[in-house]
Amino acid sequence: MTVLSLFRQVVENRFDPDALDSLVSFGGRPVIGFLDTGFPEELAIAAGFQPMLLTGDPRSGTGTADPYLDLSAPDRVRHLIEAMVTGRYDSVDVLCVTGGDRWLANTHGFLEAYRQISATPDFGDVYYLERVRGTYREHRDYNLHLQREFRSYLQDRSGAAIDDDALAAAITLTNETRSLLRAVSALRKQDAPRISGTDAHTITVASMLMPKPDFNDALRQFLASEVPTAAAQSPGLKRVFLSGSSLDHGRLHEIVEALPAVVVGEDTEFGDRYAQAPVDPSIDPMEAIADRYTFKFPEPWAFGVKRRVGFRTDAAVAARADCEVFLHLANDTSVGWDFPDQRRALQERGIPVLALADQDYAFADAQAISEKVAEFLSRLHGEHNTMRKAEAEA
Amino acid sequence: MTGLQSVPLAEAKAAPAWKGARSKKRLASSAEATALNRAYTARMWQDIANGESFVFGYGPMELFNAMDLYLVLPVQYGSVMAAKQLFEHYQGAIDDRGYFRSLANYESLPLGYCFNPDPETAPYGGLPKPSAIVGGYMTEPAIYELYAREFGSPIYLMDDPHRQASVPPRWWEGRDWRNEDMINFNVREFEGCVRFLESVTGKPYSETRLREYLRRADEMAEYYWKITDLAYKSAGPAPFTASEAYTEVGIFETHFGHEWALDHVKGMYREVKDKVENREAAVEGERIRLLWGGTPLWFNLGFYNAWEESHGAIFVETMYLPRAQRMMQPDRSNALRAAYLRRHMKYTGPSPKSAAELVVAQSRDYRIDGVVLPARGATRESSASSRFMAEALRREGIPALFLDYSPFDNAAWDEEAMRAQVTEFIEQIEGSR
Repeated sequence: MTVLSLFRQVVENRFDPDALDSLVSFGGRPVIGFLDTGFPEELAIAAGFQPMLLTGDPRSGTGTADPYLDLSAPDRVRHLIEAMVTGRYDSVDVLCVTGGDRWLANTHGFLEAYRQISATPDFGDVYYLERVRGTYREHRDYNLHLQREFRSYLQDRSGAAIDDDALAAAITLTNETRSLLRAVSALRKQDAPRISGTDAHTITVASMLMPKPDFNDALRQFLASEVPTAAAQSPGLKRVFLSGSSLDHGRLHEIVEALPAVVVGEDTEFGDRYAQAPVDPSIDPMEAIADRYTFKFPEPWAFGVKRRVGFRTDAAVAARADCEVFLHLANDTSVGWDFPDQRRALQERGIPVLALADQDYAFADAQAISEKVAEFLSRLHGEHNTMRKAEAEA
Repeated sequence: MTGLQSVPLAEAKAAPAWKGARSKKRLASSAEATALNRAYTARMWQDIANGESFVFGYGPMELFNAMDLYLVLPVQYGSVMAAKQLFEHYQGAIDDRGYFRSLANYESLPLGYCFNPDPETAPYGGLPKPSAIVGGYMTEPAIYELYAREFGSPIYLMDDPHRQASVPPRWWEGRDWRNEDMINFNVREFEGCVRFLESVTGKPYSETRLREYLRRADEMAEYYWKITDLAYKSAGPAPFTASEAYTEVGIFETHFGHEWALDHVKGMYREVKDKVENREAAVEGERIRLLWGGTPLWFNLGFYNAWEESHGAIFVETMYLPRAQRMMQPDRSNALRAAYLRRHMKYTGPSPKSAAELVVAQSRDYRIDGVVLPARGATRESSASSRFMAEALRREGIPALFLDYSPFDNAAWDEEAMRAQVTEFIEQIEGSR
């Protein structure tokens, strides 16, 4: 089996922690599920847990969850809760819900209320880790305080103290993961890249499912032995950058790359951005974790329009994108308030933008999206990315 | 900024032309509330036009009131825009900038004025540059950042974490269950806001003055609590309905702590007490009492009166006056802490489970025959609870009906279909007796 096929299998089996355990061995560690990339994996790893991203399944219906969900619940959350209430994550020992995105945060209250209705499935412990939305000094200090409380919880739950050495080791490990993922990202930015956007997305999601040491080893092997022999993407393909709503599955990448085109980067949390902002290993580990999770790229629900737009524009330019596709999932009310500024900034840098507004999480009408993106790409003229290449190199 | 009674009502702006039916108001204090609000609003816009400082945004009203700062809420201004049939006009200006139509809400609608400033069309002659933007109790911070940028006003963003691991049973009766660290964080946010407001408006903050406002606010809350209990828990028919309660919202939501507002509530209490003692019903022959569990239909308040004559069915509400019980903060030694605690409880409850428990208790206490809930919440906070509220009600044998409506998009409202659903619901309740 190639490393890439292992990553694909891992992602394919993400709804079955037991199958994942068989595939990549959790080593007897209890599993802690998390819902977004604001979860401080370092603390879980240091406490001897296996952190694992929980996602919805775009292939499933939502009939079990629907009776308990408001009509304005975003589709991503609807599918995630469907996966939970249909028992897909039964064997997760602890579920940590992080604050920030209001709907994802509401999962905590949802599960508490659902337990009154049904004893099954068993969600295990559900921990709520608040995360405030700004970067003021008080916000960072409060995040630090909450993360210390979470550390205490993990210690109580595991029965073992988390010492700073273990935490430092976990930081080294996750930083290594980020560093390797940045290497993947850099390869995607080359002319005629040898890693597709779809595969890069799979690799990134796999990093949130596998034990980090095993993932790091596998990714090193992939970079050393599989990438050099992989077929390069055709140099004539349009280079597409993805932005907007976070997608925890790869269907949009697949749709775009089937046109064909190549997705050379994303500014979403399950894309390139997961690899950014390493935890500072040179300072107190708790302080470093608080800094990382407070000051990393501001999510759409956080303060910081100007910072977000600047980051996103720079990311698309650095990827030497020919264009950007901005996805807005229906009811994702955080995403979209930056869009006009982002579009203007990108257009000023010569990058046209296509908005896919009010889309469903599963892309039920993939054909319509494919046609829309194809039509958009067909209108792009000229030698692609020449100007942006010079700009990125400068 | 006080002395409202000196403003002749004739100077107040005419009430907006509602698309929907006007509601019936059967309390003299409802007419007074409307008049007081109009007078306050007229004075406020006059003062603002004369250069008086005002805050555009959301946050602890008692604090703004105690600092003599007018507060214009985006959601309030947006609802007036919609009521004046200007939703499409201003939403169109937002659309033209490239924002997705599906993001539209009352909170963001005034952005349309920022993008297309037309004082001759806009309510109250348009929005001058605010002294400050304060983003508190927000759903999306980006909206407030856009206001600050478009107006060129300084901004203070406050976060408001409120979820906690667990909430005790009958949480609305206790005061000591909230997480102390969370309270302290929120109070620090308020402290930052106070310094910001002092800096940008030149208005001083006085702890003792806020305490005095809070004392009056608590007195008002106690009266509202008594009014609600008298009206809905007494054995006889209700002396007022949701219509009168919603008329009171202007004062309830923004004028807590003003002396004139306290005087008004005292008068309302006397009026309701008299009516209860004399068994004067808002609707003669009241046979069915429904609880409206969502955001009101501000564009169509007459909806709540539609079944009074035909079915003897009245609506009462849960999101405003009944909240008074959980607002009082007798310990005002730290005024900002008290200001935080009295406001930050969310409309339906701090979690779906606690909201479900509350709506069941209220339904029993208020002798409710059926509850109407929003299928699509106005905000993501309250909407997360509706389904569990319905489930808990059904377990207790209390029927619940979901209505799919948008509280701000009157164009999407289907009066006939909505009335048909409520009629069927009422007749099912009647049939089950």
